[in-house]
Amino acid sequence: MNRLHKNILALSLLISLISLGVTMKLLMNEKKTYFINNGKLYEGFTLKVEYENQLKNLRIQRKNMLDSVELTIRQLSAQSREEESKVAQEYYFEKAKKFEEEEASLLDEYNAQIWKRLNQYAIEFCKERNIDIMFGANGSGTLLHASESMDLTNDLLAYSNKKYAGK
Amino acid sequence: MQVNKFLVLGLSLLFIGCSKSNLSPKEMITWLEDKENGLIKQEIIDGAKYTVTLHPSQYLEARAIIENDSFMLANCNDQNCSIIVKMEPTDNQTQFLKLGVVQKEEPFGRINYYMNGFQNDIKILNGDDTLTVENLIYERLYNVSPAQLILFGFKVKNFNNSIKVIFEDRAINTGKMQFEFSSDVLTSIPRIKI
Repeated sequence: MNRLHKNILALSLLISLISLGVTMKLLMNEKKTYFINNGKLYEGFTLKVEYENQLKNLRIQRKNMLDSVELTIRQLSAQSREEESKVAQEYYFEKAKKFEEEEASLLDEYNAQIWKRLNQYAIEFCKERNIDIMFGANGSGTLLHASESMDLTNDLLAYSNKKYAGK
Repeated sequence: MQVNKFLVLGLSLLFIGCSKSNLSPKEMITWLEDKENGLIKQEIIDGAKYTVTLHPSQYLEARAIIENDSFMLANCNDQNCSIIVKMEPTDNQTQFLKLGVVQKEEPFGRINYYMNGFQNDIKILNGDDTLTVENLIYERLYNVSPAQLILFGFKVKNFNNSIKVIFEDRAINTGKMQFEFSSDVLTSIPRIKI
């Protein structure tokens, strides 16, 4: 092997080492990016399901109460007791409005509690898995496309439900 | 015969290795306070950190021995357990009672809630049994620490079933929080070497 060949070999080795180093550096700097489907996460979260059931029961109770007032109004009207019927109607509308307002405020409170919890679980989940960026897709166009392999909704949902269960 | 002797010796060593170890009172406290052993659980909600620690009867027994408290030692019962709920801000600066308050008088309402109302929002499950919360104490640390403590006791029915502590902090409006101590954890708690 003459001197020229030796130099070429040494140079190619050096170039290979440099490119290997650059590749390693790029790989190390690569940010792990994933996304989750906000709607699916919210719908599947146990706390949300529990609150939904609580609200359903509350609605049934209140509907039964309003139904019985409505029945009373009808009976009073049938008996031509107009004054009493009018008072009962006012009571009905007042109660219905109050229930509606209370339900809306309860819904807001529950939603805030659910998202606070999910946000915290997402932070802990990302820390545990060394995830740098996690997008939340909500169908509004913020995230137009992402490959399915980057979708961690099911994983985060399982993690959140396990954490919520206190395990 | 020689083979049988070795077999018996081997099995005995295996049995000793697998059975619960006995620890000195000081070692016991260290063991119970080690997060890895599963008796300490944590939940963070909107800047508020709740650390729930389960103290089995071994803890009280160890403390009684270390502090040479014969009265406490005489009253130790295997079924007795206690829970300590440490409530602290995640920033370690803001007083927990002032976390997210809007009105000046809100911290006083919170103190009142922790002293009188919190007990109604605690539920303890031991398998399918619901246990009664006994002797709830609210420890206000004033401005010494931003944290607040709540301690309560209960009697466990069966250590082969998990213990689940469920509560809700209505003062902060956290929603329901659950902390489960599995039967594996409960049955792995060592005994005190006397």
